[in-house]
Amino acid sequence: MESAPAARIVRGRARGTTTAAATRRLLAARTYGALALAESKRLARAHTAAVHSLSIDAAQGRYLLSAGADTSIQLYDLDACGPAGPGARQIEAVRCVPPGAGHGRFISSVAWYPVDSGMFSTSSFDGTLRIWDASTVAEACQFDLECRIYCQAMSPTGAHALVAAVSESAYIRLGDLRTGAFAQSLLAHQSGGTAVAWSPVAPYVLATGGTDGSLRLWDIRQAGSHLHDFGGSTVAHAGGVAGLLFAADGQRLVSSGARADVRVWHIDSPQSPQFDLPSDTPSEDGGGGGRTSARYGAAGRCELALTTASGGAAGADILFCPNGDTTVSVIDIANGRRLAPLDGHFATTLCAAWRPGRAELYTGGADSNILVWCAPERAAPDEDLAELQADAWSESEPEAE
Amino acid sequence: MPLPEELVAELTTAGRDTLDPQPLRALKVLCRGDRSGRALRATFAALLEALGKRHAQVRVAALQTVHELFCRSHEFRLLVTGQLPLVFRLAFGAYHARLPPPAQHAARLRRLAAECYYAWVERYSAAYQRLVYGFRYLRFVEQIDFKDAARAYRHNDPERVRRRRQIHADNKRECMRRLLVAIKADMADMYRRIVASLDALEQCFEILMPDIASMFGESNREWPRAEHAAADGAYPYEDDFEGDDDDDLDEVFAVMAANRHAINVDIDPDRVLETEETDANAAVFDAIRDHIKLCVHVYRPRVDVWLAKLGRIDCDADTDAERLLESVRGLSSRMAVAEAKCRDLGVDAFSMRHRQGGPAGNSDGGDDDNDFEDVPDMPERSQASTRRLPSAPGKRNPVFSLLGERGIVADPTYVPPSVLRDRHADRATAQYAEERAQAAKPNPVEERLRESAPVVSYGPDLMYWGQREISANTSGLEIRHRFLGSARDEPILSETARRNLQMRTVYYQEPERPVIRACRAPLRDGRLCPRRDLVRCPLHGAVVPRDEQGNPQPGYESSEPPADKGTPPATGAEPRTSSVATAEPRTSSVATAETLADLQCEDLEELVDRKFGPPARQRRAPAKPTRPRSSLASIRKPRASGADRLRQIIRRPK
Repeated sequence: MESAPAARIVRGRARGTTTAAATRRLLAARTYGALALAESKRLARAHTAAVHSLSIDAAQGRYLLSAGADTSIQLYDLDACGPAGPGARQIEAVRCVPPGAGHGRFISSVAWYPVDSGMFSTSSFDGTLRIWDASTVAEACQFDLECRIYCQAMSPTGAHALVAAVSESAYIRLGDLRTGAFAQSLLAHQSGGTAVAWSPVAPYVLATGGTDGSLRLWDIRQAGSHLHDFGGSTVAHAGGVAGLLFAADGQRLVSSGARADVRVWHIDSPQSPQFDLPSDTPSEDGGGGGRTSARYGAAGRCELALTTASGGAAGADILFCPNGDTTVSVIDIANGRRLAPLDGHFATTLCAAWRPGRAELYTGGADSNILVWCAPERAAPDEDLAELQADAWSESEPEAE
Repeated sequence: MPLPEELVAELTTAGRDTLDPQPLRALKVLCRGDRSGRALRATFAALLEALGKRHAQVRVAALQTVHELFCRSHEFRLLVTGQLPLVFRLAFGAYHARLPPPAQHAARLRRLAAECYYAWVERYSAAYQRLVYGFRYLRFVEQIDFKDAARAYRHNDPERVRRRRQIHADNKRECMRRLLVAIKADMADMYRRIVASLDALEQCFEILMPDIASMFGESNREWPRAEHAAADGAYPYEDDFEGDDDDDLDEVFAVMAANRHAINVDIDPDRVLETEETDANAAVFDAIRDHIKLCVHVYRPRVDVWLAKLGRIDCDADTDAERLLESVRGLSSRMAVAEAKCRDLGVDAFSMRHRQGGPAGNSDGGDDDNDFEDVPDMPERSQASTRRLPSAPGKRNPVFSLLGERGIVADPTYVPPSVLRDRHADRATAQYAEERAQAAKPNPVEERLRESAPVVSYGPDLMYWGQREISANTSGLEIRHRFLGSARDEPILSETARRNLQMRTVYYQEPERPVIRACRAPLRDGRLCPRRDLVRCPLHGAVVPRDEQGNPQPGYESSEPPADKGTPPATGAEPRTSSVATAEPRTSSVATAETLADLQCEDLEELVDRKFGPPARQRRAPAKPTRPRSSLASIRKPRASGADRLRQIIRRPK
């Protein structure tokens, strides 16, 4: 991807030779296309198996939750300074639910309560959805769905305390935290659902994706039927929906399929996607679809991450989508272009989380690593690093003429 | 200049355990010299390609090359870290990839990869984060064991070795510093005392014997005896120079300088000093004695210790130590001079000891160089008891170490070995003389016996033949032998031991077995008949000696025609099967079979053999004209021919 100097981009805009959209695109490519593994910090290895879910609290953007196949939940304080030493600072987990202490099986998703960082919710293949007190890391509440739960979400609007869970059953279950009981069930996807997302602006609007590839928009007040079926007569994603995300404006919906194809929908025009980005890496499976052929392992889902605007409206339009191989695609959803993929994991990438304000991306993968990505550090490395990075040709190898 | 691809191919296809240094060097030169990095990228691409070859040896060499360049170039490290998953797949067999044959080289590849990667992580992980993540992946997900690699790394990591040396040097310097401080503290007081003592000694020497230089001056008047030192009458100026004045001496020197004369001063070493201790200078001698005693017994060891310690301290590091060392050396040399002078004066450590015992200032100062007091002569021993010992005096007998001692003969328990020997010799000569006498006259009985006596080889039994007693242990001491028993009273062997010695030992010799040779008649397939028969081979007649080709040797032409000459074995391949065939003639089942199941295996094989010839393994492959340069192990399996496949199908059990 092109990476012109920022000054030239701005100069071009000042002269009027580039349009506003082109300028934004160029700057986005410059900023997000050049993300690299952070050299100054890394997360300690706490998980012993694949990391399936990451969540950074929306209130402070400081605490990172991670959970995965080893049934442990780790809580990292991203601002905590590790011991200064040569090389990268290592961030240790400050709190943790040891494996087996909470969920008995594979944790499919973990999410902060979007309004504050006092609690978080997890869903697991052991059939329970649990709410945790973040300060003591103790279980506060539990919903038993008696079937594998693939995803759960709480509304970011804070208007109600409903948690939506999609499972291998055909129903979306809505649990009310105030009462500790299920409030509603929506008959959604016959073969079960994999992804669920609340609208960030409308408190009662919910989008769900199923393993059959259908993508639906719901108003939870109308229990009988859904609002839209995205994709019209055909399914939204052949092979199943893997990830689902509302853009910050609540008007656009980003979905990714089990084959790492990404579509951007406008909620007012559900018939066809705004952008359709087929996977840039050819899939090995022959297109049979279904959960077994998905790239994302047992969960069959991935977590997408969108950049969020810190100040203005612009900026909330770069999507990070785990590709299911070792890479994470970086996609500009404003114009539907792929930037350079991020290649850092050693096994399947499964989830991504954007840290607002710091411009850092965290990704988790089946290699049990959580990687930190940020813009390349411009500061000159200290002497030790410079010495390490220096070439070390011996004198007996003279330069060729 | 060769291309990087060519160099990589040369390196990786050599098939040796270590890389060929010459192309490796060329590759390094190439990669270092290229500023644009194009050569480096091309090298990396070629190395990845080599890593992907389906041959473990090629991969090992490629990985070694990667390691060499990884340790040198930042750009190359970036390239490698960008492609770590691929490297893992090809070098570790990660991601369910399998390492290619040969198996032992695949194991080596895995080991080498672990060692290399561990070294990279240890050395470079601070600067290249991805190495850490990759290590976690390999260690925890792929479950690769890095223990051996860690051990190997700790053993020969240059950084660690350097650090270890650094620590060692620091420790050594600290140790030296402490040593130096200790020596300084030790010397502070002692040094002064030594110098004072030496000064006192020198003053005493001044008094007793003046310097050679000052000898020519005023001192020769006081010590006229010292003039003997310069006694050479050949010089005409001798009178002048005995003539009392410094001015005269200056004149002499002036004349000498003008006329280019030279003065030879010959000093008689025996007569250089004739200072004797008298009542007049006894006090001086006593002072010298006191001081030199201190010097020799107290100061000298201390100075030696200081010298040894200071010698160990690295003088380059500390100028202070150097200065100290200089002063101590000066002290040592002064001390040596003083001691030498004392020796010349006849005052030394031994005499001092004697002096200490006797009253001070006595008059026997003249014989103080007589170090040893006279010992009264030992009483003469009787001539009989002091017979010369067999071993030369002074030479120690390693077994009986007391043998050389002078006092041993006086010991009543001691019997000299020569006496022992004589005792036995007398007896032996008597016996011998008797035998001689008997042998002189012919004995008819003995003559008869001698005719029938067997001839045997000489052995211990003959050596002790007829002896009633065998002497042993001529050393004179009681010796317990573990087999022969003890000879306490008489130094002879016990009865049973003697009998055992006189017994004949006969070893059993295995009778020679006849070698049954092979028939070695030529067969149709070019081999020789391997049958081993005693007299005649049932197929080829009498067994006769044959040459390499199997033709009978001249003179051994087989008179009898082979039994099966008219009907040679049907296939000729195996004499055993053909003999069976001749013994039991039967029709081939191929001709008579009605169904496929009726076919007999042997018959089918026979047909196949007839069509394709004998199995291919018996054919000798023609030798290749040139040896291939590469020593890569061949992983190619021999390709089965059509005939082999057919045979395999036939032999398969139905």
